[in-house]
Amino acid sequence: MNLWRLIFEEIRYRKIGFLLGLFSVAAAMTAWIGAPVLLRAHDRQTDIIMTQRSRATQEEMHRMEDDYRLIMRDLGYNVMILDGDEDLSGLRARGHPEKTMPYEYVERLGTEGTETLNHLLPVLQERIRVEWEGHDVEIILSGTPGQIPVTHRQRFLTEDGTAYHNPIMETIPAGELVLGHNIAQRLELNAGNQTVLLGKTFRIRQVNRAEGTTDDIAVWCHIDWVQEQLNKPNRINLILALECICEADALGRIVADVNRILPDVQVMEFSSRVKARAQARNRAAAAHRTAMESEREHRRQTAEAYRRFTSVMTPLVVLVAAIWMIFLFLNNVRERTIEIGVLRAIGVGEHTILSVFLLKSLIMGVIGAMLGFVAGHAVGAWWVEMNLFSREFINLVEFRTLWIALIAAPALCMLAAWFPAVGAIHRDPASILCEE
Amino acid sequence: MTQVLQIEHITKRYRRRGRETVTALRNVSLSLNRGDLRFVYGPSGSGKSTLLLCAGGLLRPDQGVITLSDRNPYALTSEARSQLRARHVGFVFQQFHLMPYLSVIDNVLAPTLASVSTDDQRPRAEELIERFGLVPRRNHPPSELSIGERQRVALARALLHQPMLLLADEPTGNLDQDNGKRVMDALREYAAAGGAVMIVTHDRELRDADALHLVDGALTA
Ligand SMILES: Nc1ncnc2c1ncn2[C@@H]1O[C@H](COP(=O)(O)OP(=O)(O)OP(=O)(O)O)[C@@H](O)[C@H]1O
Ligand SMILES: [Mg+2]
Repeated sequence: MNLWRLIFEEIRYRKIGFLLGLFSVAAAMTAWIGAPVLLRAHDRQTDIIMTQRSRATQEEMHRMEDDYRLIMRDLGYNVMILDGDEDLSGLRARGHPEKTMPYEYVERLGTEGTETLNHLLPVLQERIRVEWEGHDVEIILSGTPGQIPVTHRQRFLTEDGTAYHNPIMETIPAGELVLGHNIAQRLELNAGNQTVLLGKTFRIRQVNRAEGTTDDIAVWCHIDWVQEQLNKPNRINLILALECICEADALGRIVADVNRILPDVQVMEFSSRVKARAQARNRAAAAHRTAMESEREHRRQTAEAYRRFTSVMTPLVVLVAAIWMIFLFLNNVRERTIEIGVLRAIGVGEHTILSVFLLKSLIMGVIGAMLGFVAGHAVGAWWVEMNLFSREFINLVEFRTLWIALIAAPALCMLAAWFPAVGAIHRDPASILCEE
Repeated sequence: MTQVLQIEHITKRYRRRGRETVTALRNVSLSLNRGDLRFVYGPSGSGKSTLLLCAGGLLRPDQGVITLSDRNPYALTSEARSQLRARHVGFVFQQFHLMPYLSVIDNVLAPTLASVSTDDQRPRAEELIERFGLVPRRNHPPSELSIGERQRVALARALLHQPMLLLADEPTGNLDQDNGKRVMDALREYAAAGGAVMIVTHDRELRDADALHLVDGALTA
C-alpha cells in the first residue's frame, strides 16, 4: 500500500465527485485559456481577411491600371516638358518649341525617379524647309533616341531595365524614318521605301495615321542625326511624358515633382479624357479603401466586445469554479472524516493525511489544466469559426500557456482542498471515532 | 514482566459548548504487562470506548497520566504521538472503520501508510488473511463482506505491525458464536505470544475472573 494507491482507489470509488471537480477546473481553465485564444484568433482572422481583401483590391487596381495604361498609351503622351523660357503662346502655331534644354535633363528625370511621370520621350525638333523627292516641303524634323526608362518603375520595364515592354513610341533605329501622314502622301512614300533626305539614305519604317495636327508633317528619326543636322549636340527642346494615372487630378503635384528635379522647366498638360478616366479609377480605389476601413473598424469593435465580455466572464467562471471546488472538497472531507480518524489512529501523520487531499487536488488540477488547454483552444476556434487543425490556428497556440495552466490549475485546486483538509486533520480523531 | 501500559487516575470529560458536560471517565487507574489479556466490562455508555481511546494515545484525558511503552503520549508532539501509535498500538474499533474503497488485502495493509517500517509487510498480511479465513474475500471491498468478515479484517489490520498493545472495542459484539470464538482465540494467542491485549465489552459472557468493571466512568473491582 502506498499513498498513490490510496488516492487512486478513492478517486475510483468516488468518481462523481472527482469528475465534478475535474469539470469545474477544466471549465475555469477553458475560460481562462479560451478567452485570449479567441481574441488572438479573431485578430489573426482579421489580418487574413484584410490581406486577402487588399490583395484582391490591389489585383483589381493593377488590372484597371493596366487597362488605363493601355488606353492612355493609345491616346499618347499627355504632358510636355519645355524649357523655362519657351514662349507658350507661339507654340501651337509654330508646331515645335524654340528653346532647347540639355539632353541630360531627361536622364535626370529617369534616374532621379520622377514620381508622377512615366514614358519619358526626349525630342529635338525643328520646322525646316527641305528639297525632298523633288518637292520643296516644310517638315518638322523630329529626332528621338526612344523612351528613357524611369528606373523605379520596374513593372513596365524589360528585365535589364533599359527599355519599356510596351513603349508609346518605339525606338527608331539610325537609318530609318517614321513619317507623318501628310508628308508621306505628298512625297508618295510608303513603309519599306528608300529615300534620300538631306544627303542621307533612309528606309521608311512606318507611316503614321492622320492626326489633323502638325504631327502630320513630322519626320521622325534618331536624335543623333537631328542634333548633327541642326548643329545642336546634346540638346533637346521637348520631353513628352505620360502622367501617372495616380496623379491624374494634380497638375500641381506633377509640376512640383518635375521642378524638384529640373527647376527651370515648364510643364504643360493636355488630353483631359485620360484625366477623367483616371479620376474615375481613383474614386474606385478610394471606395475600396473606405470599405476596407469600415470592415476593419467593424472587426475591431467586435474584438473589443469580446475583450470586454471575457474580461468579466473569465474571472467570474474561475471564481465560481473555485467556490464550487471548495464546496466539493468540503464534502469530500466530510465523507471521509471516519477515514481520517482511522488513518490517524493507525499512526498516519497529519502531513501524510494532508498530502492525501493535496495530491488528489493536484491530479485534478493537472488533468483539468490539460483538458482546459485543449477545450479552450477548441472553443476559441469554434467561436471565430476557424479550423482547429488549420495552420493559421495552430500557429496561434502558445504552449507557454499550457505551462502556466499546469501551475495555475493545480494551485487553484490545492487551495480549494487546503482549507477543508486542514480543518479535518485538526479535528479530534477520538471524537470522530466515537461518533456514530 | 514488562509494563506496556499504565493508566494513573485519569478523568475524561466531554465538553461541548451549549451542552451538558459528560464525565466519561472518573479517576481510572490500571496497568497492563506483556502477555496480559484484560477485559473491561461495563454497560453501554459507561465509558469503555473513551477508555480505549485515551489508552491508545488518541484522546487526551483531562487529568491523570498515561504511560505507553515508557512514554507519556500526550507529552509528545502530534507527529511523534502518531509514530508511537503506529509502532506500538493496534486498534480494533467497535464499528471496524474499514476503508470502504480498499480491498481486504489493502485494508489489512493500510497501516503501512504510516511507514514506520520499511520491511515488506505483504507476506505478513497474506498470512493474517489466511489465518482469519479471508482468502476467498481477499480482493473484495468491505461492502461485499459479512459483518463477521469485516470484524476479522479489522483485527488483521490491527495485528499487522505486531503492536505491543492491542486495544479491542467489542471485538465479538457483532459475531455469532463460532466467529466470536475464532476472534477470541486469536486475541488469546496474541497475548500468549507476548502482546498486551485490552478488550472492552458489555458482554457478560466474555468476563473472566480478573475482569474490571466500569460503571458510570469509574472502575470497580
Ligand atoms: N464526543 C463525545 N461528546 C460528548 N459526549 C460523548 C462523546 N463520546 C462519548 N460521549 C459520552 O461519554 C459517555 C461514554 O461514552 P463511551 O462511548 O465511552 O461509552 P461506551 O461504554 O463505549 O458505550 P457503548 O457500549 O455503547 O459503546 C457516554 O455517556 C457518551 O454519551
Ligand atoms: Mg463504545
